[in-house]
Amino acid sequence: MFESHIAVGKSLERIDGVEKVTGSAKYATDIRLENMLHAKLIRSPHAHAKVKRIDTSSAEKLPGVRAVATILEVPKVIEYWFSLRTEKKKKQMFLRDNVVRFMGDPVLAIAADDQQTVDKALSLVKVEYEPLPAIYDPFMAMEETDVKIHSRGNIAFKVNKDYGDIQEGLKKADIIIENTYRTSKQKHAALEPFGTCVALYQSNGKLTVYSSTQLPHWSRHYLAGALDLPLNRVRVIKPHTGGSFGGRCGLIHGLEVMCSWLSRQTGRPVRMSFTREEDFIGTETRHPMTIRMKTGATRDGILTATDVDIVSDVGGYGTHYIGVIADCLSTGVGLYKTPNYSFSARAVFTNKSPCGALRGYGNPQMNFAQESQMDIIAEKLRMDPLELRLKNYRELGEIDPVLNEKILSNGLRECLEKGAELSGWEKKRHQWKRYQRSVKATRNRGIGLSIMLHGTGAGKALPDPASATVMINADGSVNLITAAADEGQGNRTVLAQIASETLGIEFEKISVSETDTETTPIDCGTHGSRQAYSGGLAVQAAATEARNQIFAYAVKELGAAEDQLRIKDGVIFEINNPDNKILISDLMRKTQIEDMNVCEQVIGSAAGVAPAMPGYYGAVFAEVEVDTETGEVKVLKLTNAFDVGRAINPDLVKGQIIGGGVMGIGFALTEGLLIEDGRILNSNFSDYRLLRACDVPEIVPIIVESDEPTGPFGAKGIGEGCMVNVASAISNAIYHATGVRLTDLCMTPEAILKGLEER
Amino acid sequence: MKKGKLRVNERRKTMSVYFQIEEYHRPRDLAQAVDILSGFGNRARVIAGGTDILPRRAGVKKIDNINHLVDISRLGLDYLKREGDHIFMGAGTTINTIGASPLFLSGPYGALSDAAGAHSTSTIRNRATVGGNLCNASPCADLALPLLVLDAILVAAGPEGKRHIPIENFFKGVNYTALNNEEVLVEIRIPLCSEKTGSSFLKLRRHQTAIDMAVVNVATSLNCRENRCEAAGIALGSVAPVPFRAKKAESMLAGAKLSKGIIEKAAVAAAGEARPIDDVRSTSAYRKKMIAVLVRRSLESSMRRCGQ
Repeated sequence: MFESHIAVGKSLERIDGVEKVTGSAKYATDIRLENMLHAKLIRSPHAHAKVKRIDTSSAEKLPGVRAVATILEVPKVIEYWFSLRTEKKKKQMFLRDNVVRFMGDPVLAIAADDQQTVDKALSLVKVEYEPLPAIYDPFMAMEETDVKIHSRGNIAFKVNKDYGDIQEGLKKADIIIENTYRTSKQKHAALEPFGTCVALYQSNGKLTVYSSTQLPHWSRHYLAGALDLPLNRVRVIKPHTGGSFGGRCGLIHGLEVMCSWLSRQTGRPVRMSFTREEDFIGTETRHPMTIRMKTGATRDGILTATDVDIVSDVGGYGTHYIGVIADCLSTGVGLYKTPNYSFSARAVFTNKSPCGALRGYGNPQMNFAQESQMDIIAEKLRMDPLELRLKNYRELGEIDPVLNEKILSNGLRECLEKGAELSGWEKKRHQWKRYQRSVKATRNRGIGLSIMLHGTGAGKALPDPASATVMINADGSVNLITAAADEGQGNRTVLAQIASETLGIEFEKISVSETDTETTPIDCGTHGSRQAYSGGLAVQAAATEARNQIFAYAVKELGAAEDQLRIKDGVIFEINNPDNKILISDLMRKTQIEDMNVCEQVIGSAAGVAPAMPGYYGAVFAEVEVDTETGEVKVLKLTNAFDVGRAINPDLVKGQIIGGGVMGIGFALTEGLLIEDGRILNSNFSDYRLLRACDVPEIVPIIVESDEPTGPFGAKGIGEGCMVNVASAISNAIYHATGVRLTDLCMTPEAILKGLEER
Repeated sequence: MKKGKLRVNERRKTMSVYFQIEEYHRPRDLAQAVDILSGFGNRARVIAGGTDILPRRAGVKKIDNINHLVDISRLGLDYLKREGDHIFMGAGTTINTIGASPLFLSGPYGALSDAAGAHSTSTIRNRATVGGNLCNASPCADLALPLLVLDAILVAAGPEGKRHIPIENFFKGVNYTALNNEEVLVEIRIPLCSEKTGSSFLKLRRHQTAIDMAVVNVATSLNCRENRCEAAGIALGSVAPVPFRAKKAESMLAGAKLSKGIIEKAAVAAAGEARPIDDVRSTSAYRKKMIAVLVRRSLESSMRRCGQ
């Protein structure tokens, strides 16, 4: 490590801050191309139906209508990552048929000269449906074999995985707790709705797509497959993005492929932009899960067995359903050193909007169940929940059985200790309890905690490449070329900091490329809390190579041995003779321009996959006040401590912790789509309850740095984990305040009051 | 372009999830507003802050035939003043203006201040008006409840001139009021109460976000003399098609010596007068229970505010 850092560990200004604050940053919705057509979808009014007939004849006669595309010819993308591995599997990625599988499923799109013509044309289209029986409940979908949502059946995926001997583990247990937990269909609710796309298919056979995807290179793969184009004929450009939270992990259902198809038919650019309502009804959500969990522990609070059975509701189309379940497994098994773990899960199709990735993947669901169980065990054993965690968490140096990786950094104990201290855990835990016993108060306070583990990246489970190129210019400035998609969290800034630190060149001299598959090397995208780590490693490696090249020139120039050279603030100098020095800019100008026999640019490149998938950890301490007559819950304060390995940019990390806290409170208390007979009832922001600024309590972010040895400057992830265990901590706090254990999310006042009455 | 009339921008019309209008009228004065309204009958709707009408989605039967909006936001209807034995409130007064007004800080009118503060979020309250809150006639309209217990008089202007409607006669059904198509609500008059009066408002939400509408909301007022109640007002929201006064419960309190017991009894009686329904936000049973809790708490608070 460096003795003193010039960029890492500093809350430097975001590279896109000024652009965004002044409104000049271009988002997908701002993109206008010459001669552009506008397109819109007709969506199914049925939750499950066969499209019998589509009559677009009158619509097509309308002047200004340029193209029509229907699901009969345009494929839907229904499988992700896993299918990229073989040609045979790749074919499974795409589905062309005449069935609509949820209310809002696209049927066709029309492109026309302007939006009014599109609207008019759509009203002239006649679609004849043959309604099919619809299934909304995954348990019914598993039993009902007459109704098949997909030809392969309603069970999309199932898995059983055992570690140790579950029966043996249960035998050793002094107490066994069993409960069933249910989680809601949470929506990402990103500030910029999903999704907007502009596609241009040119006569030279090249397709350019502007889309706010989190995975530009993977989206290129999917588009190339769907349109049967070679990869080098597909270019994906990702403009600035107003939040993704996993919902842009791939293509948006009915968006990019449809747009590209229409553009290919017309040779003109085609723009399609979903309304907020379409975002709510037609794009992916979190997987609602029913989790039955049986946990055994000894009298001393040592976990002996965990038996889990999960039913995950995939909705009408599956994309991330395997990964989400794999995440339940890895985070569930990984967190505690339970010797005997039995895990089974089924992912089931239903006639509801499709589910996909949402911050935390399957972890928030799993964590809600597991951390509720831990709280119950602590209560039964009359043990401090904090102590129970400390006794059981998987520590530094142990092997994670799912990833089969040694834990090389783990700051969980420090998270717990710091969080407990700053929240006043011990005092509040006792005082508030005493207060509740002695006074018949109508407003009870409670404090609860929960912990979590989340993986950084997905290298062990998926093809997870990252790459970067660092080019040093003749004036000593640096171009960093990367496809790392910044969704608004600031990872391009973090990567620039890593480049600056590695090169020894000032942060202000680094500029980061646009996110464009044409000009950037392959990257798996921004998902799985991976960019600071995986992207960071690639940048560090590329910058190291560039630095070595600079040194090679400097050795000649300064006549010093390479190991005697150092770079600081843009100056290369001999360590024991600091006067023997040269500005990088002078050296680079020399080699690039002045020495006409050389004319070489320093270019460092790196590509590959991160060596590990390090876990990052966190502890949340939630304080609530419950009105025992109405069941209302007020979150008073969250104290959230997260081990991020190393905070490259502390302010950006804090931003994540606070934002994750807000999203976690939503998951706990206010969010979730309400569905009645397949229809989503709260498809806008006045009915879907997101926390407003005025609803957000004090959130105290605590950064713990455990120095991950495989990470760039010790960094690992943060993006997802910070929302994972907020709901479980709030639920545990509600229990502390009231003695009511809630097993369903979101937790409503009515459910709490019911619990109080049954207490 | 005709004066007082703005053609709707073509691009605006394409926001098709929301209902669409043909013409947006901005009358110069009240007479012109009434004129325009008279010309279009049930096809026109008054718009002030727009926080109720603009987010309405297409396909809602009640507004499907509306294609003219008449903007009354520049007719000088934004005022608050105390004169003689009334407080006069322009129908175009924003909720935040009411919430910030010193007129309603004291005991008798405290419920108005409470309700204004509990209404949605500050950004919405900067646009939403008291007149809009009443004329939208939602069963859960927050401002309706304090005005009900304060016996407000609503002044409507129409082709025949002005008329006074006691607020109790104003709400006729969900989104349906005593106003005729060509009438505009222009003013709310609140009779001055005795200083021995206290009022308060309480609201319960399903999801604890400020924007959330009420599952149950209540306002109460008490006029007390040495712990004896001379008059009581209890208004309930979200538990019937219209906000209303729980008269039986009120009569239990009138003339009674105020005690924990009688307040509890009145609160239970008030719950008995409600006809809540089951919907996505709550069950009828929960709402009934909550009325009793909220009315009790509100009465206790009103009692504390008496003579403040």
